[in-house]
Amino acid sequence: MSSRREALHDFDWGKLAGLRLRADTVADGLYWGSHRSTRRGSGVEFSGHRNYVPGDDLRWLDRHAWMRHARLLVREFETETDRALRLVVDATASMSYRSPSAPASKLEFATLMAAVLARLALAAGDPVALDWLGGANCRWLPPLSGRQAFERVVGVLESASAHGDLYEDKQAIDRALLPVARYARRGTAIVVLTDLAELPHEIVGRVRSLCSHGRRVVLVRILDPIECTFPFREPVRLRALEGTIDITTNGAETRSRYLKALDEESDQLANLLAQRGGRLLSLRTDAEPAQAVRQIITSFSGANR
Amino acid sequence: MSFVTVGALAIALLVFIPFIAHLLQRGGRAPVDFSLARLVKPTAKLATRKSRFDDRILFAVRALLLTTLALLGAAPLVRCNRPTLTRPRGASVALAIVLDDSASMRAHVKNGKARFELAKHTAVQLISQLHEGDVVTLVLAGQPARMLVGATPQLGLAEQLCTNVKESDRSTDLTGALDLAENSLRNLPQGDRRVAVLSDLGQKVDKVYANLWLPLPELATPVQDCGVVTASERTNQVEVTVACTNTGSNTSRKLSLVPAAASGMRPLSLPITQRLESSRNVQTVVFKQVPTGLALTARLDDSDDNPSNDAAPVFGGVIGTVVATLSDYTTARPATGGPPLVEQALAAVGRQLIVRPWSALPEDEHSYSDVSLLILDDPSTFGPEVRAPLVNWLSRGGVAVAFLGARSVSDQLGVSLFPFLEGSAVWSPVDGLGFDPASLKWLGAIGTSWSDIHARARLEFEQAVPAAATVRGRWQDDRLAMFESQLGRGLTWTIGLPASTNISDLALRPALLALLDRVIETARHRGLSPITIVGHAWKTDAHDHFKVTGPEGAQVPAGTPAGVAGTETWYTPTLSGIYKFQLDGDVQLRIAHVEPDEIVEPPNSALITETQRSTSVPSLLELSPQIVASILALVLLELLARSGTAWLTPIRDLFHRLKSRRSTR
Repeated sequence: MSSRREALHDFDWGKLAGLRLRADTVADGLYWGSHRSTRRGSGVEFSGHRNYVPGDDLRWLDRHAWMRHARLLVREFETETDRALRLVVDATASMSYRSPSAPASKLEFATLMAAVLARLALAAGDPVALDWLGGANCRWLPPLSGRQAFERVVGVLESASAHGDLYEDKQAIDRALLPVARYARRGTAIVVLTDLAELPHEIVGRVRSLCSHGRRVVLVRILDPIECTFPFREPVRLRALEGTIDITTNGAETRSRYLKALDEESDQLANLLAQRGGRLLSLRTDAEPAQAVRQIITSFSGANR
Repeated sequence: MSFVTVGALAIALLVFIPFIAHLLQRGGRAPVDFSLARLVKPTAKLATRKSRFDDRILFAVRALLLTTLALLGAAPLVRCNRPTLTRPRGASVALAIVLDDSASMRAHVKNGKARFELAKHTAVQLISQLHEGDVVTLVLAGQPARMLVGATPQLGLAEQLCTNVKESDRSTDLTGALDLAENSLRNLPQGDRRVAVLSDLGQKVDKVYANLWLPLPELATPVQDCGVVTASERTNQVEVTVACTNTGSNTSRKLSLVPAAASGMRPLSLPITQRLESSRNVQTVVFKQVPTGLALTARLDDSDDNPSNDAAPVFGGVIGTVVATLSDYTTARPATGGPPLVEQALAAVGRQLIVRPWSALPEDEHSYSDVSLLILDDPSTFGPEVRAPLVNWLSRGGVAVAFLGARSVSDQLGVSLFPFLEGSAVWSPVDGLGFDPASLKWLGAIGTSWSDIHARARLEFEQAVPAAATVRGRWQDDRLAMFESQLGRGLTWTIGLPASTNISDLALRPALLALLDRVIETARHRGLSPITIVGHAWKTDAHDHFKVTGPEGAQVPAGTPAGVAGTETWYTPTLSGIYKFQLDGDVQLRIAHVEPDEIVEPPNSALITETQRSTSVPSLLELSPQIVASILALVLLELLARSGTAWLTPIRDLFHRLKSRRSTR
């Protein structure tokens, strides 16, 4: 297994390797320390209905509700050991950025992290839900568990592509996070994977509201190596992928001010989250994936229940 | 300019592509995606200024690159003013360079430079363009034509010799030079043989030469020139011969006599200025009542294209070839009166002849001292008193012509016609005979005029002809009529008929003028004349102490350029002016002058046209290696400019410093 992992590390992950294979590879190295649940969801209290989505286990389809209301509804149950994982992946246009030296784009790295986390959760018997911030071909997934769940999560992650401008569609933040606030139960682990490139305070503000009812929230800020180092030395014209910002600057003179502003913003956002028990974690896309997942899991230990 | 050249040069229009790209780039740099651009502060002013500076360097380099590429496409089709030795066959070249060092090459034609300087510079350039395997011949076209170096692959030696060539006042001997050049290339293995003529072409060339090339046609541009040929003083009278080109150069010019520069004399008070006649190319101006014993210079006022010949020193001796004549006035004069026919013929033949009629042959050698030619018409036999100085004079290089008649026959003891005949002759009547034209071919077509002279008598001297004589003419009955004989360094001509019209029409026919012209030229070259044309040698007996002081004061040791061969010593003057000869303590003043035709003769435009029409070798400059090197340098520069600009920092700082200093002011 280790030789397989080493071989995969030698490849360009952003281009060559399939997301599923990568997710398996990374997750296999993370089984240690993760809890293992024996409950499978049967014999627990009924918690409510939700709309049927293709792929749901037909055993939980409420035929009475269908006959009575002509709607496909699925019955949901709540267990005492429910530690559902809700993943919110930012798929706006800025997440498509990938510098020449980076192994993958920010969206690819985010989906990889999401897949690995889903694999870990499912392996422990915890359901996994998936929500999207912007993006195209992005399907929302309710909390899923079971053998088919991982395949469905990975399938949705694979089909997603970056799209959308938060400046033009500020409601996208609410559309992504309000369902989470509504449906995430107590004890749910929430991971928001975003670059916070646009409207960072709005996003963090909404994420802060999730930090209640014993939810553990980790906001993972994913940055490209260039965004962390600002290597420009010459006059350069920079254009944001979202919004209308288009500026010309002298790289050598601006670099230190940019890095300072980035640090200050990260500290400020981290403080905002920390006030509500949330955590902000910054990751670079060239980070070693297994180590990155480990950092995310470690961040949960500091997050409030 | 051919279509290919135009097409290649049109590539240079592509220089507008980087220019347009530059303008587009000046409008804004290509944007770089950066998600966190909101955290970056714009610094637009500085960025624009720097980008403009960088772009200018790149634009200049690329524009230069394209222009150079266009030149490479056009090369070697670009015509260049510099004479260039092309190799259309791509093989080795045998090049003969005819460098004209005659007096007319001193004229200035372009940018104030003399023809000779331009020609010499071009010759050195042509030699420097030769490669290993080429051969070069250097021929000088001043009279007489000389081969400086013949068909040598030692290009360095040839270049050095060419550099050392000096201008002279020689006449032009273009025909001889072209013959030498053509002969030097004849048996060479090189397939590409060319004769580069660097001359003003101031001589007519009858022969057609192949592979002639005129690298500098502008040398043959007509010039305006008047020059003082000779100036001599005799008995309070100064005669100055002036030659002018026929392009109106003598209009309203004046000739003056001034003290010689080194004499320290005060200016003359006499009327010493005369205006030239505008209608004549060669004219003699006479100044009368000039004080004797003064060092004078004849000088032309104003200036022309050739200032080097506008002044000449006045020669204090006799200028001209002294011809002594001995005739019987009772029989040799024509019925219409005037001097004897021989003297009239001499007056018609040549310039600068001083005819000195003698009544009898002198008995002292001193009388022969300045005589170059002696013409005897029906002389009596010579006694020992007159024969000895005559023979001595002949042995030293004199030339004598004897028209023998009835007086030449004598039976007295101790008298003879030696050195003209070595025995007795018979005067016998004939019936209207003439000379055989076939025997007079050496006189040219004019020799036929002696075929019907209707002689009534003749001298028959077959038994008295010296053994080494050369027959020069025969009677129509094949009897000997004329011969030439060598005596020491001298020469005798013996004709068996007197000049008297009572005997024949010999003196009335133009062949006599041709004969006299020939012997006069021979006498001049024999070296006894104190005057000669530049380039013609003075010959004398070998002397132990022989030194010549030239017109510019240069001491010329014996042997260079004077030469010694056997019992002869000769010296060839290369500049016009007065020469002082020191021969075993004896000092003689002699003068060398420019041939008037050297000034008068216009450039041979027919030869220019013919050469330019027949020359298929264009004068093109091969620049490809230099252009390719330039392209490589420009490509390297562009790579440096694009790869990084750290090396530009000092330049940039200097630029900003200068700009800020200017704005501060």
